[in-house]
Amino acid sequence: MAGSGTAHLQGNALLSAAHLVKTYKAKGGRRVQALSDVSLDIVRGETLGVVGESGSGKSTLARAILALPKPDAGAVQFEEKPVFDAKAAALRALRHRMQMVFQDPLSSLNPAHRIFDIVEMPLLVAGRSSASERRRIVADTLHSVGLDVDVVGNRRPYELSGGQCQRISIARALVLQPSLLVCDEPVSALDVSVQAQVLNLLEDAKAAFSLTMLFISHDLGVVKGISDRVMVMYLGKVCEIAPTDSLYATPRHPYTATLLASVPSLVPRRREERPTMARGETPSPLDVPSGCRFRTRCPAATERCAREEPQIQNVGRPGHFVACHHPLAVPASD
Amino acid sequence: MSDVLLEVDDLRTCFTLPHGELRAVDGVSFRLEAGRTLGVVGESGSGKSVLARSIIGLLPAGFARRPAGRILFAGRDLRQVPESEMRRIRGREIAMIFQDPLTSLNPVMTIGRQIVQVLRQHTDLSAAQAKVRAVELLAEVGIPDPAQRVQEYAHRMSGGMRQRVVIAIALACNPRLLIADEPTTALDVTVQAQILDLLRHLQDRHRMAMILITHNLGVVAEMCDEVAVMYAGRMVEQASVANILGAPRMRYTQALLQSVPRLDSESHVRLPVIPGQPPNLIAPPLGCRFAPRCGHRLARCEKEAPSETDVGAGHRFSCWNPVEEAAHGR
Repeated sequence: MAGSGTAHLQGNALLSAAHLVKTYKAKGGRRVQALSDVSLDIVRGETLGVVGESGSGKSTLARAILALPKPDAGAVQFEEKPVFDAKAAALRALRHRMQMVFQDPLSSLNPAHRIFDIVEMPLLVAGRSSASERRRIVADTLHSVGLDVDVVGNRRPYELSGGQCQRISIARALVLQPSLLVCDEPVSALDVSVQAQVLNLLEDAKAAFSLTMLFISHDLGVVKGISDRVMVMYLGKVCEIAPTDSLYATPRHPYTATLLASVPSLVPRRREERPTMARGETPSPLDVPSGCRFRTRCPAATERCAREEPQIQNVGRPGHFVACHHPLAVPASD
Repeated sequence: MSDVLLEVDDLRTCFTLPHGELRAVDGVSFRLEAGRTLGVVGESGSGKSVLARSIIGLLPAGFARRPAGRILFAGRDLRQVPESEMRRIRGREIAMIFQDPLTSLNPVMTIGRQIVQVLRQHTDLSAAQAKVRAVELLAEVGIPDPAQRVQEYAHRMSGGMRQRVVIAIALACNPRLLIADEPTTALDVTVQAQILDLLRHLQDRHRMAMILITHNLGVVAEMCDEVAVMYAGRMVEQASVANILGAPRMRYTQALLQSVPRLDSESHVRLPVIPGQPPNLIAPPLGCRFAPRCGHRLARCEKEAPSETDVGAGHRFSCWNPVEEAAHGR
C-alpha cells in the first residue's frame, strides 16, 4: 500500500483529485501524515467506494476534497474548476454543487432547529428562491427521502429516530441539487434493518438527482452493494482500486485479501478453512514503515518492500490497479 | 441434559421511567450447556444487553426493578443470592466483557495491577504469585512482551491489545460462564478476526460456556452453537446456528438476514428492507410486536401475541404465520 502514482486516473472526470497530502501536528512536534499522496477521480454518474480501517485516511480524504479544510498539497478539479484556488465566494458556489452526509445523524443536525429550517437552510445560504418557492422545494425534497413535511417539518431532531435523522441529513444535502454527494460512513450508526432503508434511498436519490457519489465506509458488504469502483486505503495510501466485481472476486493486494478474509461470513466456516491473515494491527501513523506501509503485516513482504515504495500500476484486467511489489496471482480457474 | 450450566426461565426486567414502565426484557427463557456458545442477536433496544446485565446482576440502580423469573446458574437461582455472594460469583464464576475496552479499564492503574487485583480478590494467590500469574495471563491472550506490558497503562495500548487485556482479566479466575457484550464492535475488521479467534481458542481450552451478544450476524455464524433472536424485549426465535442462518421460521429473523449486505451479493441490487421502526416498549403492540412491520402479518397477529412453537432439536419460534419449512428446501 503504500502506493503513490496516478496511473489509475481516467481523465474526463467530474471530480479529480491529485497528489493530496494532509499532515496533522501531534504532541511533541511530531507530525501525522493522514493523507499521503492520494489521487483519485470519479466520472459523472459513478459511485466510488472507499474502504479502509481506522487511520487509513478515508475521512481525511473526503474532507480534503471539499476543502474542509484544504489539504497541505495537491489539487482538486471539480466540474473543470480548481477547488483550492477558488476565492471564498466561488468556493461557496462550488460547495453548493458538492454536498456531504456524515456518520452520526444526530450530531450533524442542530438540535435547536426545526426539521423544516434545517432542510431550508442551504437554500437561504445560497440566496435561492422566494419563501413560497423554498417551502415547495423543502417539501419535495423531504418527500424524495420518504418523509412528509406536514408530519416532520415542525419537529426537532431529537424527536426522530436515527434512520429518520439520516434521511433529514440526506434531504439537506440534496436540497441544492448538487452533482456530487460525499457520504462518510452514512449508515455505520444505524441498525441493519434501517441501514438497508437508507442504502436503498441513496440509490434512489442517485438516480433521481443524477448524482455522482464518493461513498466511504469500513463495511465491505455495504460498499460492495453501492459502488461501481472501490478504492482500498491503508495508513494514508492507496493500495488497490478496481471495478467492484473485479476487486471482490480477485483482490490483488495482500491487504485487500486480508480485509475480505477477515469479514465474518454468514455461512458458518470451519476454522481450518480460513486463510492465513495479516498479523498484528495497523502501526501508529506517527511512525509509518518505510517503503510499503503494509509490509510489517504482510505475509509476502520482502526486503524490496522496505526499501522502495510501490507505485500504482495496472494489473491484467482493465481498470484494476494495485500498489504492490508482489501482487497476488489470479486463481488459475479465472 | 445434565450438563446445563445456566437456565433462564421467564425472565422479566422492567425500568421505571417518568412516563411509564418500560419492559426491556419480557419473558425470556433459554438454557446453556457448559462449553457451548449462545449468540444473542437483535437490534438496538431489543433488550439483549439488559438480558446480560440481569443475569450478572449489574442493572443500573434506581431505574430497574429486580428481575422477575428464574436465573438458575449451576443449580442456584441468582435472583435469591445475596449481593455479597453475588460479588464472589461475578469475576470468579461468571465474567463479563464489554464493547469498549478503554472504558472497561482503569486509566490510572497499570494493567498488571488490575489483573493482580482480580486474582487477589477471588483466589488465594499471594501478591508475588498473582504477579507471576498476571504475566502468564497476558501471554495466554497473545500479548507480546507480557513481562514488560504488565507495567503499562491502557491508554498506551491499541484497541485490539486493550480488548486482549480485558479478556485476560475476565478469564483470570477460569470462569464457567463468559458473557461478552459486543466484544468486537469497536474494533477494526482484521483485529476483530484475531479477537474472535482468541475467544474461540480460550473457550475450547477452558471449556467455558459463553453468551455472545452482538448485532453482527457474521460474528454469530463464526462463533455460536445456538442463537437466540431478540425483538422488542422478547426472544422470538431460538435454534442451532445452522437453522437460524439457513432455515429461519420467524418472519423477523428472515427479514433481518435478508437485509444484511453480504460480500457475495450483487452490486446495485435493492436490499429487502424492514419498513418502520421497533415499537415503543412502554406501550408495545397488543399482538406480535413485529406485526406492524411484518410483510406477512395476518389479522390474528395484531390481536394476539403468538405462542411458542417447538419444532424439535431446540428450534423454537413465536410466529402465527411462519416461513414454511418447504421454503428452505428441506
